[in-house]
Amino acid sequence: MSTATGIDGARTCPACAEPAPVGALFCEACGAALGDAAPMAGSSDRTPDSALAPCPGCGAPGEVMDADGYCSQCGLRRPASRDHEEREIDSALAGVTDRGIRHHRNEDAQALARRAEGGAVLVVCDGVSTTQRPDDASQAAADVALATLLAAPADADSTVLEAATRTAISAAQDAVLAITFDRTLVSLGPPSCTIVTAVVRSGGVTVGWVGDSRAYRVHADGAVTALSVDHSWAAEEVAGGTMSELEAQQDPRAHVITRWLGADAPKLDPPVVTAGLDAGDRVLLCSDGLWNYADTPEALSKLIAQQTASAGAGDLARTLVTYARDCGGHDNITVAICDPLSPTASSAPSAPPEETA
Amino acid sequence: MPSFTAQVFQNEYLPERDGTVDAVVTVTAGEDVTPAATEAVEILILDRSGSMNEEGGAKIRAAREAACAAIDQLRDDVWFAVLGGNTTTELVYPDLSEGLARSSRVTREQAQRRIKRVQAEEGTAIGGWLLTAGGLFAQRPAAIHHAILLTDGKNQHESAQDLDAALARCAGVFQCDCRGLGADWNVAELRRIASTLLGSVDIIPHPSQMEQEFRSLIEAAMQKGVAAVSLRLWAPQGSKVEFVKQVSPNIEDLTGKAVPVNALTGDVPLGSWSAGESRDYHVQVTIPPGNVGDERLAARVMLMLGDQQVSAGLVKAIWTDDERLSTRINREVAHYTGQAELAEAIADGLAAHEAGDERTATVRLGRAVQLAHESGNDDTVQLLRQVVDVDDAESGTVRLKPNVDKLTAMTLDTRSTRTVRVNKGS
Repeated sequence: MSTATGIDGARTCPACAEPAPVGALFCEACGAALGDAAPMAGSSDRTPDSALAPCPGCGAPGEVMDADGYCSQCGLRRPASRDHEEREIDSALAGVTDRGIRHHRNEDAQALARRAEGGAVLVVCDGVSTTQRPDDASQAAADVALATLLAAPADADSTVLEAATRTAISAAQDAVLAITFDRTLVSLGPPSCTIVTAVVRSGGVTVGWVGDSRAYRVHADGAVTALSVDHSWAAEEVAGGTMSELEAQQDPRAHVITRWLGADAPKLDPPVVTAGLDAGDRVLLCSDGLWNYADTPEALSKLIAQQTASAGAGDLARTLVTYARDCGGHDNITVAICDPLSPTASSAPSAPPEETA
Repeated sequence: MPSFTAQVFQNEYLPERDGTVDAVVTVTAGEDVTPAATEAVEILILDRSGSMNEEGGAKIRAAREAACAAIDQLRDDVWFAVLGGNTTTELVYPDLSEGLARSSRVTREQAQRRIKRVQAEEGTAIGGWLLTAGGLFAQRPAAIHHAILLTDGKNQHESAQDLDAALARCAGVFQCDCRGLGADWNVAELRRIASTLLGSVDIIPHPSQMEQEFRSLIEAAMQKGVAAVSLRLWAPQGSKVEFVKQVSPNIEDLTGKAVPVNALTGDVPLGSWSAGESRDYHVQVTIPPGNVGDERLAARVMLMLGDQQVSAGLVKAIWTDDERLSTRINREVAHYTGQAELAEAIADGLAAHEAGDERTATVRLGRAVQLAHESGNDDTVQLLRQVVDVDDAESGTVRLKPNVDKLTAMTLDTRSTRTVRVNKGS
């Protein structure tokens, strides 16, 4: 780890020596990257080191994998670390992103970190498959949005956080625009992705989005309410009153997104909303890889109800990803969950409680 | 190590159960591929058979002048020789005891004096000419080996087996650009010689055009900076390389030239290259289809200089059920598929024309006009217009011209495999 470690194991920013919260990817004070420190203490990266594992295609020994990541016997691509990535910051803040089954790579990206006072920032982005470098677009957008939102003051109220969310989504758009692509390759558009962000603090959450990645509030009693409204053909038809939710979802155009980040994106103007959170409420962000198989709050609520109440954020995220895979895993799946009021220390012995920082 | 780049153009997305992968690979030699430090051997092979005396001796006189002009283009220190071929092979310059001459003002003038005394007589035995050249090249094994072969007739004074045997011996020893003078040589025969020896084939319709042609051939040969470049192709277990074709600057099927390196890998010789030179190759591989979501390497294209890899490109296969991805047409692959069809249409049309089947000739040459027109292959459109009257290029509506002379048909035949590159602007 390149990041300095202070007393009590708390880390400090290598650039400005400001204490860095557990789980932070970027310094809150100066914005510098905290280097290879992520995932942080208390988090686990369950991605297997597949470099020397036998080829899943032909069983050839791992040594025959070539430098480009393909089996030199049968040509099958070696599983990439991004195929399945778990970020378990602590028992109450975790995200899982997975390639799914029917897509060849994971074009979803997640970024999450704790902020002061038990709060958190979560970002989920979903690269658009019919564009160039969608995986790079989603990762860049997620990382930049997280860094921007972490820079918001700890005591910021909802007005400040809403402004910060707009700034973060605009910064994410700039990051996507900065990705180089082949302009002569007309059959694949410029790098593009969706984004949904959530800044969680005690008593409330501020959400912003572009596209069809969603934010939900999961009530303490297991009920679920949607915080975001998709920028999709179906959602716009429903909003316009031309058809019912059910009719719209059955249309072949249902999932066509009407807004996204990218060079050919329509005007950004992301919706930003703030909602209250009661004790025990959780915030859940996900890509369409999950909600394809649970497209209403009720359906999602049913899934979550099958979990034991004591399950941590990581367990719930894993369960939901597994559910989507079991349903066919037609798209990349990402689920990020935060419980704002749970202290962070419960299952992360090496991480000091935020309150002492 | 000279620099090369290999750029792959393909649609890597395949629908379920499909295993056919097409890719166009553009290979470009870096600006550091210069002849400065490279040893080179150049051999001129001139037809001096009796038929060269036709047209009042104009052919043999033009051949002498063209050869002299070519000699002028040789840079100092290049090894060279001039052969005169008829039923046997004569070493015009230098003397047999000297083997190869080293280019200097003195040796070039000596060679030109000898060339002016070359007389035409007897028949044509091209295999023998090639074998003699091969023996001379062998004296400088490490050098870039290039020859120019000029003939005005068919290979009538040795057996087809003799020519085959000679070609087998000479393949890989030297590259040979072949030129047919007039209308009495055989396009298929000379094309086969050029293809086997990794050279070009073209027609020189009139003796007066020979000098310029020779000058530019030598000029190009003198630019070559590396010899023995090969394209190494790896394809996975259970796959089959359906073809490897050069598709630019002209179509040349290289599939049969692949030399196995191991069970999954083969080397296709690409000959010598000059700085900035760029060629396109179309590779088609069939691989066992994967599941939706699988990604497989369908081919690894490596550019080899001897045993040294100087560049590589990856051809991938990704199976998807997203039709927006799997039905994308890759522009380069589509373009060269069209150029190959164009060459085929011309060959079919000319063959039908010769066989007196005007109906087929009209249909196929019409299709050729249409393909040449839509791909912007203007040179080919011009050549086709010598053979057919075009009513509508877009739809390929044409009428055969009533009288097409042999020279015109041969010119079209010889140049039918020339392609244009994708118009990047459109």
